Amino acid sequence: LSLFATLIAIPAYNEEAVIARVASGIRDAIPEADVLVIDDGSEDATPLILQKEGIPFARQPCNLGYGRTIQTAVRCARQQGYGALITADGDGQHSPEDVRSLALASRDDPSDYLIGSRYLATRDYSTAPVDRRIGMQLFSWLTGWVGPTRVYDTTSGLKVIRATVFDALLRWHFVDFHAEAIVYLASLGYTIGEHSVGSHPRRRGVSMYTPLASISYPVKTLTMTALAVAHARLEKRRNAR
Amino acid sequence: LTSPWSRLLLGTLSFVIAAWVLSLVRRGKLYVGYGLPFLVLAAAGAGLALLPTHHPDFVGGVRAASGWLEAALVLAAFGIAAMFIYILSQLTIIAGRTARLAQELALRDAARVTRKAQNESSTPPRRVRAGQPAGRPRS
Repeated sequence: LSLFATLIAIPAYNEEAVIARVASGIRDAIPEADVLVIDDGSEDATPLILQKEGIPFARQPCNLGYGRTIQTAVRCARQQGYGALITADGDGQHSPEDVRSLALASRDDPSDYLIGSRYLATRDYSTAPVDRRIGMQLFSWLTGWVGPTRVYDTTSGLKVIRATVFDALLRWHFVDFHAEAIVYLASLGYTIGEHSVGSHPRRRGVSMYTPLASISYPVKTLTMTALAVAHARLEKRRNAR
Repeated sequence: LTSPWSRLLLGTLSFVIAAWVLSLVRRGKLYVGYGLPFLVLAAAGAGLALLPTHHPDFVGGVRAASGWLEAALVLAAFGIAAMFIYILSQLTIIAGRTARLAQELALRDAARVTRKAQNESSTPPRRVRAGQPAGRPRS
């Protein structure tokens, strides 16, 4: 895979404090690839900053959530014929070096969906809050149960998505995208890989996981994951006929 | 619930509602957050239908009711639930279409802004902009 055929999408929601630094850092680290910020209807100065800095961006007229924002990026990559899409969080959790490292790893790794994993090397979730830690371990175990290999970082926003899975990702309606996408694609027979990257605390802004979400998120995601597996099996059976 | 027919009706309708909700959620026609309360209610209904006949006292009032009245109440409750599911399903479909529209608008708007910027600048852009044919990946 050539990095010239790669689109790097950075989903951002109210990230005025860091978005310019994050986007230009990634752009400078991987000059071969194209960078596009997907602004998820920010209410702060994020779009103005992007415009001022000359960073290409697509602005959703209203807040659609992370899953839909990633689908917008997938739609864009598919429409323009890119070979791969790299997603990196807009809050600065991933260093440009990590994004580059993952991009370079994707040239040799044939996985359809390659995750920049913070836990692959250490398998130590102690840095995450307790509620999230339980969720991460549960969904990590679930990926091993459904797919051929266990994924240790199901919530990473840094990933390489190959064009082979664009259509599949646009067909399913994700609530959260992370674990659902992994399990759905694994159930369809696509390969999921992990590449070890560093972990950095978010620089500014507010996490999308609120205390209420830490209760509702696992329930919704578990339901959607189970349905995604059922849907994938039905789809495979239909295609086999 | 006293009457075996009421129990059978409650159990059957709970199963039908759960299957319908799961099918709608799977097909993207009902948001999972809307569907979950109905799944919980359906599970509770199925549990009530399977409950042993020796109820605790607080269920005694329900036991006192006659079979046909119970059946009518069960039917009415499920009718109301089905109506809510239908309305929420329509809402989900409209929300899905709106989200799709918002995605397309975002990509088109980015392309328009880029074209404008290109026209204002004499040098061609270094990078691809969303929705811009000139920005197709280089091989």
